[in-house]
Amino acid sequence: MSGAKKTAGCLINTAAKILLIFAVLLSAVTLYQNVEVVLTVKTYNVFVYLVLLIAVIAAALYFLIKFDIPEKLYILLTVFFSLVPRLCFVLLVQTPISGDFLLIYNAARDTVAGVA
Amino acid sequence: MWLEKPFFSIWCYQIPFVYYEAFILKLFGSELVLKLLNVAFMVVTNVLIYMIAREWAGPRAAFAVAVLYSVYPAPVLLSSVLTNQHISLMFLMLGIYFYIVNPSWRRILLSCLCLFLGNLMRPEAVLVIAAMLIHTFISFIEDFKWEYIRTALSKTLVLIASFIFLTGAASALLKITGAAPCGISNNCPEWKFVLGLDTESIGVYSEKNAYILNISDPRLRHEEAEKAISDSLRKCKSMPLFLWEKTKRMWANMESDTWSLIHIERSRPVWNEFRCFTFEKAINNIISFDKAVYILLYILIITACVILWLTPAEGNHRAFFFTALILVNYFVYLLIEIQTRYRYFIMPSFFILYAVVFRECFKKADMYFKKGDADLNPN
Repeated sequence: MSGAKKTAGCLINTAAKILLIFAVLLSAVTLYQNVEVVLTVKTYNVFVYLVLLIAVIAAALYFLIKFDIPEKLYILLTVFFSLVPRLCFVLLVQTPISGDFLLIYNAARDTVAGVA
Repeated sequence: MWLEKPFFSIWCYQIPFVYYEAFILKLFGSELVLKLLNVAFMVVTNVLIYMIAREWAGPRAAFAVAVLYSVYPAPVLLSSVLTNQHISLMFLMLGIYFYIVNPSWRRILLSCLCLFLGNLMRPEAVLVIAAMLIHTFISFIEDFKWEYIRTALSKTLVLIASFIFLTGAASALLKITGAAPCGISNNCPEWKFVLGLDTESIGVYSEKNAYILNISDPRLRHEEAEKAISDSLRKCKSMPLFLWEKTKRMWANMESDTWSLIHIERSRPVWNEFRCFTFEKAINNIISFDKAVYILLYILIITACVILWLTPAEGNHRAFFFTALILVNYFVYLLIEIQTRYRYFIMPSFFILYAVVFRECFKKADMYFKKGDADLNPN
């Protein structure tokens, strides 16, 4: 019984490792493809942003290590950081409705008008 | 009569979203409210990223991940688009949250309800359910006892059975009431495969085989779709090259700004005082920043997988749910139509998964700084 248990445990562990191998392989391939795309379209400033981003994340992590922030504040700050760019974008960029989205929107308006 | 249009009789799954929009328009009468609700759904999704990641990575790592997702430009660029992706993703993430965090029977039923609502808006719950099945199997490692296996299996199976029941019931109800005369399923599921396996267009939308949609007999349509797919595959000179190009277009192409910024006059300056800084330059910088976050994401995912490999799976089995979801999503898009916009669904999983990396950073840093403090204050 214990032997069977051990074998099953080993089997699940192997499945988990296979999952990880696939994830690493696909991520490595995608990473390569992304770098290839950046080099092809010659948007080298991506690498500048990457370095800046890593520096900002390192500084943010240092800040989080050094200062104890109450856990409740994390949720409020997440809401704030999430809300501001999205709200600004929606209010400032007045995207016209087009394509399939327009078809769906017009259907919704027809429904409201009683033309289903 | 919009219900009679071919778009809604073929893609019937779009109908519930029409009723959602109609409901909001009836209540508020404004398109802006729909966009503001998009923002609200996105914020909830962001908070859910924090709450799920907190479960195994702690609050600090989860917060770092959530903030990075909040400034990641790709979802922001979609916020003003009236797509069903925002509301659907929020419900699916809520379903995942109830399934992953303390999955009691009550929460499993809540998870099922959320998956059903998310699927009603955009049918992507099947990917989540596939990942749940893989995760249930992996989670046996936590406690390999018959009692545990039976409970975990029955919870997942009840969730799937209830989901199928709710979806069937909703479809029947909408059919009976005449709200969706053809139901709410996809009446031409083979079309996505015709597009996805089109080796000429490399899996992106093309009008070449659109005549298939006009065939009303499902059997004939299915046959024609099969013929189109086998023709396309026969003409393909190299299958690995096709898959390479397809995955590159789906997972590596620069983010598309055409969904929300197509109306912007690109040569116009952003500020009159700085005439050389045009909208073209501003948008290109946003897209470049997006790519930088995206590349960093893949570096961190590889690191996260290495960490998961090195640490025992028992304590980390929840992270395997997201690994499975990413892999399922990746393999599905090898077969069906691709657009960079379709990455939107899976991106939160990437962010949640790499919280593992930040968790290790905090663990190491805490040890280092505590040691430092002890050195300074030996008493």
